[in-house]
Amino acid sequence: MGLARQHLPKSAGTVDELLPTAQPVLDRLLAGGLARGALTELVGRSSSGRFSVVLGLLAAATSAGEAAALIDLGDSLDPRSAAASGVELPRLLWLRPQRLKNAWMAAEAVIVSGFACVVLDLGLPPVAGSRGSEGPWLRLARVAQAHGASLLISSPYRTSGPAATAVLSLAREGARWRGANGAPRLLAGLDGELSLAKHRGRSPGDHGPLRLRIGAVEVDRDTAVIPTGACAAGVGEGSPPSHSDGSTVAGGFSPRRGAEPSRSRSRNGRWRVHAGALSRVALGVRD
Amino acid sequence: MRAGRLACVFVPLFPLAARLRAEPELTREALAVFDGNGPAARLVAATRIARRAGLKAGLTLPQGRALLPKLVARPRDPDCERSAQEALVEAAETISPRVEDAGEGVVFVDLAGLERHFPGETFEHQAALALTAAAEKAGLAVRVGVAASKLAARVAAESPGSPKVVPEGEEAAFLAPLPLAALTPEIRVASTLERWGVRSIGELARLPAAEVKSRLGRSGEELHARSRGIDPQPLLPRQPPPSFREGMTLEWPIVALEPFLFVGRSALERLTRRLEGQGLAAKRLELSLRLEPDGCYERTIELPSPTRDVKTLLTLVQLELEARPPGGPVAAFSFAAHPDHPREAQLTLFGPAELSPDRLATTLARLFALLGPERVGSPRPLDAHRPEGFTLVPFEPPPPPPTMRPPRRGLGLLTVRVLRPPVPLEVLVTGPPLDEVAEPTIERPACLETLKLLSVASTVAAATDKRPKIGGRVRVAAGPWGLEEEWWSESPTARDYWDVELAGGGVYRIYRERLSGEWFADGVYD
Repeated sequence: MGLARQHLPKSAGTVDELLPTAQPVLDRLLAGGLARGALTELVGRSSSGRFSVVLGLLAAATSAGEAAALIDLGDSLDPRSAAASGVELPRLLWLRPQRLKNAWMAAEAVIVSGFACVVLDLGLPPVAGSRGSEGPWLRLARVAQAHGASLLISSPYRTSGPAATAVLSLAREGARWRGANGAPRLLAGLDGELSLAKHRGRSPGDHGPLRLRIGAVEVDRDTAVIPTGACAAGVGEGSPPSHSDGSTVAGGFSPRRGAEPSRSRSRNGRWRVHAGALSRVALGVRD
Repeated sequence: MRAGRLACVFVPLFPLAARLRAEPELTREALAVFDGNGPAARLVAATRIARRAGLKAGLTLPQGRALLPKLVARPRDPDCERSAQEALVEAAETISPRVEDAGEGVVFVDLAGLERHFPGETFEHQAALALTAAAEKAGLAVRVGVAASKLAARVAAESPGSPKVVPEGEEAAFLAPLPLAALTPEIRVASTLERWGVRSIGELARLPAAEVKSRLGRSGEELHARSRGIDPQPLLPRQPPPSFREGMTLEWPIVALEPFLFVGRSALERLTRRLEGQGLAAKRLELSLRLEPDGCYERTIELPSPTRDVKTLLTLVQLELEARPPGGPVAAFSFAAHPDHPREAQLTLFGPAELSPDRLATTLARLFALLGPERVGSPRPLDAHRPEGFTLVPFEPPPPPPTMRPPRRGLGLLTVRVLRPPVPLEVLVTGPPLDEVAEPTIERPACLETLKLLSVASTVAAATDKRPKIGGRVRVAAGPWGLEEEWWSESPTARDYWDVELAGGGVYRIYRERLSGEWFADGVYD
């Protein structure tokens, strides 16, 4: 451990610049944004909203004109969801390694080439080869420090060990659903609790856990034929719901709110109903 | 204004120099290059160490070995010599755009118009030094002579004391004491001149031109003009080659990859140096192998963007050979680079830093080699309804904004972590038995409105399967949402989707294929 500490990057207090994440909860915990030249780890189980936070960070970086890279070990990215989240896809380099070793090498290569924001997402558990491997993380932290890149590791559990300057923990609180007692039911979003598990240079307990709400914005679709992959969501601690009645509408395949099932005539003259009401499917064909 | 000044760049012992350029580790060895096959092979050039031992041109290999048992013998290599000649011409072209390729380690360079680049009275001397330095950078030791005619320049280059400049107007006097053989006359003309008693160039130059022409014809007229320092033909600048090629014939066929990469690296280094000298980079690399006993192996390696990084190129060659081995020992090889201009970037003072195009190209090429081209790129959604559809385009980011701008406020949308490929599921439901309702079709799907999902379990059982394990009682389910696509095709897509929250807390997107009735999970809300 002593040797490892010799190779640790400097504390975040010496980092001059921050990369704003444009996500109030995250920026508040990290005192302004993701540190440049440091490795930050975001830990969260599946359905905790971790991937939504990652895409939010990529959206912030690319909208500021920075080039960003996503090393996607789990091959999880849905480009349509990313675009809906605000990611400028032409500025995003998407790498899909199949092994963790290749992911490390790819991350180092893109940092060295000058990318300002690099995200290594380890996907869902199990992550093969992640246990007991501190050396590559320390190396990545050093490379990020040398090139001033913001490196975020998104992992289902702690992996980077002492290499991380800051560790954020995202606890799952559950999904929010709209509709009950026979009413159309829709996935409205996810609730989580984001806390700062470690931050080198700051005393623990500066901030208690903050509530992260994802979901509440309606997806705007030009047609109600087929749902897209992205759920609607809102963000931030205490962010207002989208609708005046306080309800939220979301869900990967929900049609536009209040939209009626649309019809079109197929080539054989039959009526084709493309999408149904909010909950129960009404897709079918009738003469 | 000086006009008609030429420089001759001459590589002494060209076959040896070309071989040493390809194998620089032999520079301090007793090396001799032989021309011909078997017993008929004759020595054409040797290093100084070998010459000190008594080796000279014309000896056979046994004779050479008798004089120097440790003699390192190499045959003449046309690939090496061709590469060296091209490198020599390109080195000369970095000084002047008008360069004539005279072959066999000789090029002529037109110095007209270079006064501005080398100001002063000694511009010819400075230009000659610049030519020498450029050739040395290409791995060739040269001598340079400057004169008004090709012959005088060539003779000046071959004489000791490089660079040698023949003063303007003194070409005839410079050539006069040389023997007539320096003009390489035809045998018929040479015998006639010998009968006349003409033995030096100066003696020929003093003869009346009209008389020589009337007696020796056109060839005699040209010979007389050259003796007076006048070129019968002007300098013929060569056209730039369409591609860059480096290679060599191997002394022994190579059967393993590692030794091939060792010799291939030096060839790639020479190739990239030539590209760098022209301000170009390789957009495509063609690998050509000659196999033993016969056959050839040719592959084309496409690069994501122009690059000159030797390590990257070598890695790509290694991966190509590992993926598709040649199938025989390699007797000769060559690399041909298709040149292209490297990307250029405009730097900014106030905006975000732009990625260096050259470094980005190198990185992309390495990532191509590391991950495969289908796993590197910029994502784009497909204009289709199936959520798993996407495409990759080459990563060519637009230039950053000229000034810093704050990031857009995050939308914070809930996103789906896609499962590729979808995880097969076993789903327990209550409701009317689907199979008894009717045979489900696209046009008449099974009645799903009253279906209630009870539990979900992934059917992936193998311990080696890295796909996530999904299972548990369904706490909340929403759906189904219908998806139908390409109903007109032979393999239409017809699915019913649910969003389910399991008792363990995971929220998944699952679907049921209408035709087969199989269940899959294709995403995790995360």
